[in-house]
Amino acid sequence: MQTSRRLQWLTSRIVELELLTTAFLVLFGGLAALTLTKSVLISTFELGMLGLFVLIMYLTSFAMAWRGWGENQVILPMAALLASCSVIMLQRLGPDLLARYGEAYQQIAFKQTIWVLVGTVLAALIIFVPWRIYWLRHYRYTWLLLGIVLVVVTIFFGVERNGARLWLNLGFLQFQPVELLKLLLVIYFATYLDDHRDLIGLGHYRIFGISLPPLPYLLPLVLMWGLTMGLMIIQRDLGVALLFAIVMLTMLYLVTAQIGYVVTGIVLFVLGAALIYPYFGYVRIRFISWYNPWFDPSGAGYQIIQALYSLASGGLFGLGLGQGNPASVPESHTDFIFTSLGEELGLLGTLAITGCYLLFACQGYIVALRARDGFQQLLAAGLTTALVAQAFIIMAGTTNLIPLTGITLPFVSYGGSSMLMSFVIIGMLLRISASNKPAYVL
Amino acid sequence: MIARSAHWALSLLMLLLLAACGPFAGQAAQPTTIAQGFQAAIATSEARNDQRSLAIIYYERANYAFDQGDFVTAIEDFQKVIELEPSNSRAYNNLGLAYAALGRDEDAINAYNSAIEYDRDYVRAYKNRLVLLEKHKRLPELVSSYARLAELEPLQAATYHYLRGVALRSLNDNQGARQAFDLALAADPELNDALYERGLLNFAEGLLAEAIWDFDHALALSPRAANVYYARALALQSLERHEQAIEDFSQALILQPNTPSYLLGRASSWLALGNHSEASADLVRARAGQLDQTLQLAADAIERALERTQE
Amino acid sequence: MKSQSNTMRTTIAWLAWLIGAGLLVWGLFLPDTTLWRLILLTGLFLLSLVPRTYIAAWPQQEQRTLLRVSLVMSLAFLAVALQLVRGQFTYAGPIREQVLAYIQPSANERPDSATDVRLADREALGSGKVWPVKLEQPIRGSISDRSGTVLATDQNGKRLYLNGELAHIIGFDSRLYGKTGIEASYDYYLSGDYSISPSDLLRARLLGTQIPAPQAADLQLSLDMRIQQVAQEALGNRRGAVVVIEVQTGAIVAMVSYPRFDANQLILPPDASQADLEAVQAAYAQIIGNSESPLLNRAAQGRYPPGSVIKTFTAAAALDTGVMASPKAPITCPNRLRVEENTPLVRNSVENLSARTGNPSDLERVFAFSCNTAFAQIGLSLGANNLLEYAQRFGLGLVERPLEPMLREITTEAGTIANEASFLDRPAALADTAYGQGQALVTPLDMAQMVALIGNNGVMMRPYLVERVTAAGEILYQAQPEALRQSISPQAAQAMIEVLRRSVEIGYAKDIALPNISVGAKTGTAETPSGRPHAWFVALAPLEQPRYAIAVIIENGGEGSVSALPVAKRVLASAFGVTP
Repeated sequence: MQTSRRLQWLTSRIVELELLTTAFLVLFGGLAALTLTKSVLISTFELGMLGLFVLIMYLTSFAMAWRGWGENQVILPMAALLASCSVIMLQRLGPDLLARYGEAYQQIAFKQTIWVLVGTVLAALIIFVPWRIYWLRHYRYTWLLLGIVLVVVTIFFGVERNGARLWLNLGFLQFQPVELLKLLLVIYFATYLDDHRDLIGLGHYRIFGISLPPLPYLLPLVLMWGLTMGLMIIQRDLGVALLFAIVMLTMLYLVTAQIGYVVTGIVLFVLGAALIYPYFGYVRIRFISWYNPWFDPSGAGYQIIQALYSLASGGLFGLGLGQGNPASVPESHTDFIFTSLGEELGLLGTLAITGCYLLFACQGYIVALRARDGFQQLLAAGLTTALVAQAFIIMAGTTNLIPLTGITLPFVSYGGSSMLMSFVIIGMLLRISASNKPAYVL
Repeated sequence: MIARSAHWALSLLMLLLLAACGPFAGQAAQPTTIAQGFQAAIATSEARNDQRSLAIIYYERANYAFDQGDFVTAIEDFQKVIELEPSNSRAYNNLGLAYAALGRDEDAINAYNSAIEYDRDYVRAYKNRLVLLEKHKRLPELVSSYARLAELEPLQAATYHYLRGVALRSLNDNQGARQAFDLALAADPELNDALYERGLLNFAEGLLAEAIWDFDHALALSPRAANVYYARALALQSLERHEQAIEDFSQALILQPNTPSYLLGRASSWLALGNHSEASADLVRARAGQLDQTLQLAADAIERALERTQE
Repeated sequence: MKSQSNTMRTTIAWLAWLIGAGLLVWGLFLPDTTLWRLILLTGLFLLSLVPRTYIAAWPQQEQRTLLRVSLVMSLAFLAVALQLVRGQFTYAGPIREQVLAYIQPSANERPDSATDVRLADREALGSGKVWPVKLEQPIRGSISDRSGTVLATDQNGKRLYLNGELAHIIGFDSRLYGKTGIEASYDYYLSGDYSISPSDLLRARLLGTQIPAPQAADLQLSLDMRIQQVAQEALGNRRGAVVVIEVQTGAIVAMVSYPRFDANQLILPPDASQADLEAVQAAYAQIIGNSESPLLNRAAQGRYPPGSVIKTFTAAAALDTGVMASPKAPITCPNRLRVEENTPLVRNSVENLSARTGNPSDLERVFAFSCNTAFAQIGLSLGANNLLEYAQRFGLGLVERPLEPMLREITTEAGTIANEASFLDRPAALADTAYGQGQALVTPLDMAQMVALIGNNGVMMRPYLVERVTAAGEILYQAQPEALRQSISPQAAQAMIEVLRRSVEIGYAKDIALPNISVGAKTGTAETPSGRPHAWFVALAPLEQPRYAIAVIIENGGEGSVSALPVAKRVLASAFGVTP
């Protein structure tokens, strides 16, 4: 009986173990291919770091199995796989970027490895530290205040980069506050909507013959509109504005089940974008270079044309790791890392990554479906949407499906803030997905 | 549900693995360098007698060689493309770039000319040629290039008309230059450079009121443009409005202190007003700077005039 | 009934699904991007119908929203996947070719024009082109005398002095040795520099306009070549100088100095050969090496002891101060005069002069016979202060405190009455200076000026050489007679004229007398440390309305009345057109 119990916990997360192993096969297979074809030298220290990453991942999996709360088994390996792709690609891009743009790109692969490692530890902490999900509801105004302070601080002390004021210089690192803001927003919104769920469901009243929803219902819409407009005008960050709009509208829809308000939200967002369209050149440029990149092929359309060429060169099977020239696309290690992957791994690779995100979305929504209560359901759906919608916006943008907006590809793009927040999101999703967690962490 | 999804994921991940390691699996048999890759592609295209793809490969290889800084190879390959496709304007353009990189400007210009010949709307080729024409100051060709570019890039038309006007001015075709500046200002009424240059043209033709109008408007747009103050000051000087001229010279000198031409201008106005101490002070300051030959003559003239009046 | 409609709906949904899938597959191969986007949207919508029917039939109503969200998200990723298939597989070739055709290797592209800079921040507009201005050197202006006789002109690019004798006045314009004389002081006009306007230059530099070519101006001198010629001949080859001044204006009518040099010797032709160069250098070396200093313009630069001609000055000062009330005022002319203990006695040049002057005599007579002892007394009566004051009024300064030369157009020395003021504090020195010895050094020009002011009612005029400057018929400069000061009163001047007249009527200067022209004059004989004394002569004529003042010096010429007087006489006779 004792033995069978032991065996049982060992095998309870066999799918996760299998998937993790596959992910690490990809990681080390990719690194080996790079070493052989591109003669990239990966330092022992870096290899040690990656080994640590693998170890923590396995340990987390085993620890979850031993604890037996029954977390989702696909989410963690998904993160591991995408982070592996990121490490491989940055190892591959690092020397090219260094040669092309110089000093600023020193050791980006190493830095990314550190971020991945820190992210993994962060996720493990969220999974294993016994915090209560209830706290998220309880301290709602703390989160709201923190979010507002972040926005204000960024507006006044932010560092401008590529025309968007998105960065806070903390001295030792450049921090992207919108990433944290994204998380805070989802938490606050989930709290708010869950609190007012009943009220929002009730009837309408009329002013001047126009049918209006009750005020608390209007508030989230107005908030959404104001926030996204603020982001677009003050921070000139179209991507994050779009992401916030999508997340909020999705959560709104989940609570109300009324498509009308989603339509209203979309109309408001488009109206906002249309309003600033004539005054803000960057919106116009984004739109024009999406609609026809050939309008200004050496200027506004340059990046997207290079990206399309990069993808097309990749073809079905890709040029092979280290064989292409992905660094010719500006921002190839951040916003355009997806096309870099596409050039070297081909359609198969890009489809696999797309599939990963799709799978992640499905798993996230399944977690939401099975959540214990309305709040956790909203939270899980919101977090999932935040992550996969971000992936969609940048993937669709770099493939010229929708207008390009600068935003990171979660887990893959170079950058600490994004990496850490993505790991925090999966940590929380795993916590929510634990189907038989004890009451003291509820 | 979870199990089913996991199997999905598993299969996808395997796909990814395959994709990532595909080229790596066939490592030994596959070409290892890019150059060999091109060579192999050329061999297959030749075997298939596929002219079009052969040209494309040469073109790519030439571009690659260019990016590696191997311009001689790039030129050879571009020429092969041109042999295969004699009207390939892109190849001509890139050939021109390679020549220009080697400093063979004349060959480069001829290559760009061919590119333009086969593609009358080839903006890039026009712009690349422009670099060399501007470098060698080949004014008549510049004039026609600017004119064509103004047609091809309507958004930039104002700038091109303006540049054309400047080139025509250098050719002493004042009438043509005036038309060009007028076109530039019609396309962009706030093109301050064109306002200034048209002002100079008006000034040169003795239309002083019109010149001052142009300078006024250029200054309203660019209140820090010292040379416009200087030009307006000279115009005022021609009208014998020396006090106003001195104000403008002084403003120009505040913006760009110790500029010899501004100092000499002000000195000549002081001289006309009979204020010899101010004039000689400005002259001394001007002499401290770098004077070109004309300014030297002007400084001498002021100095002689001051000497005469001291006697 | 309900299940039947459900079946219907499901069938239709599946049909739509098929159509959608077909559309999407077809669209993947379409070249038109816009059309592809439309097809993608339509296709995905049609594909979504099937899952939507299933979601609609989902048992847990509260989960339907989540399922719908999942569906939308899945469709979004499906769209990305389809876009990738098109971009990387089905339509990859055309995309590649399109981009390839456009790509040009490494962008060394023409940077867009500077208009990108914000308008308000621009510090300079326009092309910044400047037009260098080349000035043509005009043919140098000519120089002529007052009646238009050309004296200097440019011939085949070479300066030609038609009258080489005038080098002291006109100077030269030599490429090797620079410019001197009028050529230097009026270079501004002669070279055409006067016509260059600095503002014209600045304007032409900015605008590329033409500026008028500089125009050389011609000079007309106050010299009267007729008189000048006579003076030159009269002086001949004797070292000395002659100056003739127009009394009313100060215009210098003749100015002769000997020895002189020919300025043409110093002029190089435009395309000079080595031989030309050497010839010029040799000529210059010879001029420089000549011990008689031919470069020196004795008329304006030669400083000589004045001898007795200075008595004119002393007499004028005495009359003006009232020390001598009139030309008839009494004065003694002793043979010897002791002025101061332990100093030599003042003597007259001729023994027993009082026999000629009478004793007691008067101013006219002591002047006519140049009585030293009488003028020593007058000097003592005047006193040092008066003497200094009047010296300054006559343009004579002190070596320690020299005056500015009155003639500005050529190099000129100003005369001095003494080396320092304290010299005159000694009565003997004062007496000596008053009759013509002592430290005084004067130029012939000073002496001519001294006589001229007497003829001009006591007003000293500034002497000048250039009458007018003209260019293309336009007068650029016209000499305006300039009164420097009222040196003595008109009454004193009138009295002095009487004194001068009597000097000719009864005195040593009587040989100057000309028919029909009344001349006033004074002779002088200046002692020199070695050799014969310098011969001086000054004169003014006609006395009724004085026109010319003349000063003559002949170095080591001996008695003024013997050697200098005839020169002056010839000059005046020719000036007035009379035969002596």
